[in-house]
Amino acid sequence: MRAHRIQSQYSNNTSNRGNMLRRRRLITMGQPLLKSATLALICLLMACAQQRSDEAMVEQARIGLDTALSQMPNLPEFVTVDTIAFQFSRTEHEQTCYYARGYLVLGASLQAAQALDLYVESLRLSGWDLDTRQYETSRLLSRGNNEWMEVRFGEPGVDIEAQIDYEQIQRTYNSVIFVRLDYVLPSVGNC
Amino acid sequence: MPSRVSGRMPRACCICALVITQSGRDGSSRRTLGKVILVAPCPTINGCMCMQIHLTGQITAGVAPNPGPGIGNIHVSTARIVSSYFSDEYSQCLELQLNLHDASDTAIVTRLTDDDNSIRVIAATVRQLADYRFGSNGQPLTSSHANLAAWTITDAVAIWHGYRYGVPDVSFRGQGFRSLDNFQNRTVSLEELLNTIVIGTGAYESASNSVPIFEQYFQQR
Repeated sequence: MRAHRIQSQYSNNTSNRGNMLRRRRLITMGQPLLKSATLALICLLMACAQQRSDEAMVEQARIGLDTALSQMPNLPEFVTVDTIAFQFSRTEHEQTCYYARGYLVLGASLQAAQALDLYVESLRLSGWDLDTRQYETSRLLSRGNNEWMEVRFGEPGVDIEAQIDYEQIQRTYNSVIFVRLDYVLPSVGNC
Repeated sequence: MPSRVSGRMPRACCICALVITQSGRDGSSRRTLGKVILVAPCPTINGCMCMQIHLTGQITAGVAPNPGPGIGNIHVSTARIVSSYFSDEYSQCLELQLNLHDASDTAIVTRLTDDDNSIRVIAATVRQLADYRFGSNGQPLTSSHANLAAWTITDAVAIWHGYRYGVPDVSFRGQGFRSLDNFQNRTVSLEELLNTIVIGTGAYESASNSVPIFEQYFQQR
């Protein structure tokens, strides 16, 4: 009887020790799992925050572009045939730049060179600065830290040629002027 | 941008978070393709490491816009534009045709993942940029540029920068130069090109680091 009790006590002790060991093992395994889960959650939250921040910057650039486009000269010699806008970002050397780019396709009643000069002069009067380097068929302008523009005549470039009927526009107007306006964040100088 | 995994691969068991993102070399926005939590081996009790996997190319075809697979990282839009350029400007030269401009994204990605095809499209892209570099008034000079005696280091650096950052009106969302006229201006010195002409984040580093490589190559020729 006593021997049985001792045996029973021994098996209870063994069982308790087993349970304790299992519990300890669970705690030992559970702690890193908990830590890991917390870290994983932090990682996800950081990724989400980064994505939201990128989207906010791109949106901010788009708003800047919209404002700049709304302030473009409205001259009787020009008709806005099309406006094409898009935005994108680019990361190089750990720095991200955010771009909102707008193309204006303008049909003009003047000859190309005259139309270019008139339009650029009007931009200058509305606060745009001419770049020192100029070319036969294009003019480069900037305003403040975030805005950059090219005004030119010639062929449409690859970004817009599929979206406009250039031959039809050529047939309708004496000349066609293309404006490419970039709103850049954090700044033109850093990008 | 090549596919890459940042963070160390764990060994003992724990939970890991994978954030799968894709970003384009040609300026397309980085975007998150998916977030996955999985049980994976961990190296130490410190547990989980955050891994960020950048995927481009065949893995993201049909998911991410404009992937750039293959050894040349040529993006789908670039391959299509270059193919279209050779179709328009060199229609008589059958050996120069890439026949990619009417192909689907998936077909282009499949072609670009093959090394031979990727190198062929790289060569075509450089030829297109050289045509524009040696051209004027926004028009390309459609001739062979194989005579390196006609090249300067400045030409090579400008073309390299155009390849990497794009040229407005030539490349998809080109942003490596203020204008195509800027890219075509061969009167500027190398110093001026590096300091005032090339643009884009890290443009100066990218362009100036290429100078010794081109110098060495031109000396060997």
